[in-house]
Amino acid sequence: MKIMDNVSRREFLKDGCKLASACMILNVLPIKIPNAFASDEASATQAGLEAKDGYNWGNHYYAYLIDTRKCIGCGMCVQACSRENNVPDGFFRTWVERYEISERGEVFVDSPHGGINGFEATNPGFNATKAFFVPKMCNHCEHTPCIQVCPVGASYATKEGMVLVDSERCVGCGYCVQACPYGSRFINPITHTADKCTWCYHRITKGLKPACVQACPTGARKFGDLKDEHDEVRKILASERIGILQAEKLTKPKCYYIGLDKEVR
Amino acid sequence: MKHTKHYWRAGFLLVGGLIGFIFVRHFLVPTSFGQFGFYRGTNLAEQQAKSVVHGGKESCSTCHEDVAKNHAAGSHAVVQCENCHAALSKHINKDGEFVELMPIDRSPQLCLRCHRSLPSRPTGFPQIETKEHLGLDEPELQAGACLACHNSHRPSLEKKKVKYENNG
Amino acid sequence: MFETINFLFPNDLHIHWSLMIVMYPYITGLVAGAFIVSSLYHVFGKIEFRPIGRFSLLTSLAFLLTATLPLLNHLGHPERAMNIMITPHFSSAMAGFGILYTFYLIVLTLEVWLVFRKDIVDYARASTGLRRTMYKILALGVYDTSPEALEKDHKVVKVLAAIGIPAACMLHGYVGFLFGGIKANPWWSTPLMPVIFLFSAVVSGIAALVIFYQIAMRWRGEAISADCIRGLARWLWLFLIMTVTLELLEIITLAYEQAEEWEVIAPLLTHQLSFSFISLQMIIGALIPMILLMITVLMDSFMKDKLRNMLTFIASSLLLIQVFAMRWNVVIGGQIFSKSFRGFRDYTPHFLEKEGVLAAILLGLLPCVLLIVLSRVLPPFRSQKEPIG
Repeated sequence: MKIMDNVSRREFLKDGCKLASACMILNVLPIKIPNAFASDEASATQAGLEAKDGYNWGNHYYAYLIDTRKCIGCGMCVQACSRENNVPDGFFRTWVERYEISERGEVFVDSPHGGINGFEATNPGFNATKAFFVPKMCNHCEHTPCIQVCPVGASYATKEGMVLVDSERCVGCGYCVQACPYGSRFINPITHTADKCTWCYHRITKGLKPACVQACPTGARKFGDLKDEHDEVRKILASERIGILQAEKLTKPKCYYIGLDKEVR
Repeated sequence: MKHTKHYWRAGFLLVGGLIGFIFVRHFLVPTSFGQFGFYRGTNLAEQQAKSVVHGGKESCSTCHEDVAKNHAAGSHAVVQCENCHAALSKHINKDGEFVELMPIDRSPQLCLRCHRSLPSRPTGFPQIETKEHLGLDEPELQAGACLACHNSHRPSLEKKKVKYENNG
Repeated sequence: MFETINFLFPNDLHIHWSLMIVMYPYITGLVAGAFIVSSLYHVFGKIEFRPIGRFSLLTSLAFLLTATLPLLNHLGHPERAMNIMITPHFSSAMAGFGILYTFYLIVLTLEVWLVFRKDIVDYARASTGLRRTMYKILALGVYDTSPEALEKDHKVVKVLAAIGIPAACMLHGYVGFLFGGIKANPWWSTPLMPVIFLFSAVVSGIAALVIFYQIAMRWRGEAISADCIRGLARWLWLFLIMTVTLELLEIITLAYEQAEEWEVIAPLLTHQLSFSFISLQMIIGALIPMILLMITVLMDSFMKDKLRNMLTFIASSLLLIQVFAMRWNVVIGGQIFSKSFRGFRDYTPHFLEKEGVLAAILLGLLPCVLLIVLSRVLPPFRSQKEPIG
């Protein structure tokens, strides 16, 4: 069932009508989204992967925007991610870091349990003159080192630009974990395979937002589609000054930041 | 060539091993491997098929219309129901059947997750020092301490009365 | 649990590459090192290594056969290990492993087979029953030991050994490249890494042979060849000098450049790794053996055989520790600082865990046991009364 074909996410949410709500709840319920691909590639047709519900992966190219100035550090995103994706305790597909910095350049950073329970008051031991939160997650890099190093083709990039892991092919060597400069990957202690943020692939292909974006009460996290002319993220990326993490690594992250500080890596 | 019999035998073993490997490999490569790229194509469908856990507040409003209306009118309209309660799948299963009641967390710590005064929060975001606000330190606060004055669905005080009427 | 200092990315609290990944390059290093010694005899005609020419081949084979075990023990899904051969993703350095390993295994097995073929045929002729069947299978049923056939074998061995040198270097250089090619990790990411791995591999290989050879001769009650030990000591000294130079060059470059990563590497070396890097890898493991070997080589004419044997034995034992410490410092050192470049954690493997100390000890002993078994099946030492042949 395709609910957001020609409607932008924003309009759609504004509508918020009963029908949409019903659709939303129905989205939670059935798991009948097999083979939901329409691809212009002949191979897709041959394999019977043509779309039945209108989701065409060739029509999307996703990007993620984090406005650190809006983040209040509630950690609801981390909690939602953990529940949505069944992330084991002590491992994080997304997390929130807190920075407190003094005039003299002293830096205090922490992320207790990834911020999954929010943040308590802390004493950095100096007088912080600047303080902020930074949500982090997989950057779904365009030139990603993690796919490069996967020896068996278990890590791959989709047409929409997301980096996924096939947990049935993954041998659990951990090379991708070492290769990620952002610490976004881990070996799941239950499946013993590499695990990471998928931008909630199972949600976005059904027209929903990633769980973290939905949970964010301040709009600090935004998910957008660069192939959609009316997309909010696309417009912001086109007009605002944007930062990325560890630009010098040339991995071309697709998580964009507003209000990054030089102390954030 | 004389005296090369053992080389031929070793050669046959190696070539046989190689052919055997190619033969076995043929059956071990998943059929959808390489369909879209260097990966197993059917994994995409598997990834998509994972069940959605959070429904968003629109799902909640299908049944809890009154609460939703009240919630939507206040400053907490931006907060997802599931943030403070639990994920929808805990309450309603895939077939739309009731599973269990949503938990209601009345602890002040839940409110303080967002409203505890922290230097790292954006200035202008409503934050309190419990000592100033209630005269008590955080650990001394009883469950429901915040709810005594604020309705969590629509927290601003002037609307409190309306809220209680709506909420029952 | 473990201690942490300052801020680590939450997922960096876990050490994903454990003691097993320290064992793996250590074992392959011994493979490459032992093979290069055998090649010094078989290809470069260093006649002083004749007593260990065959033994070093067996050593290399024994360690090669067990080299994959630490990896299998480490993999999250060892049953899927063959995926690396079934769908090798060649943009990954690791995907080359299956092919390099198999290629080297074939070259080494063929070389061992041809070097020992005459013996195999002789045993097959002389023995009966199961033993005879075993040797017959090993001989592939061909009993041709005519001088022409042996001459041909000899030539092919030379070719195989010549192919084997680059293959051994590739196999081990590739292990260094696995680390050297990770730009996310400043402690690993240097083009020097494969070279350092290779040279320290040769050091560990020669050191292991010095020890194994002396033990084997004691066991057999035969005299230790003074020429052989003298030669090994000389080569060991040379390779040690090159290894330590390269290892120091890497650190000096990092320290001199004072780039961003130095902020995390300086405390890593002076605090987290102070014992395993400064004390073990540099002083006990490198400086002391270097002095011992210098004495052995430079004062050779004043030295009695027994003293030379003892000095090289001690130096070699320390060098085995040095190379292990080097592997540890690379593999573990690269993980105990967070990619946040702000925090550290410590890592002490438990004794009994799956990838713990006991498993490492067993995996270290296994190739030694295998070497003893191989030496029973294919005795590498000719009796010293036998004529050269």
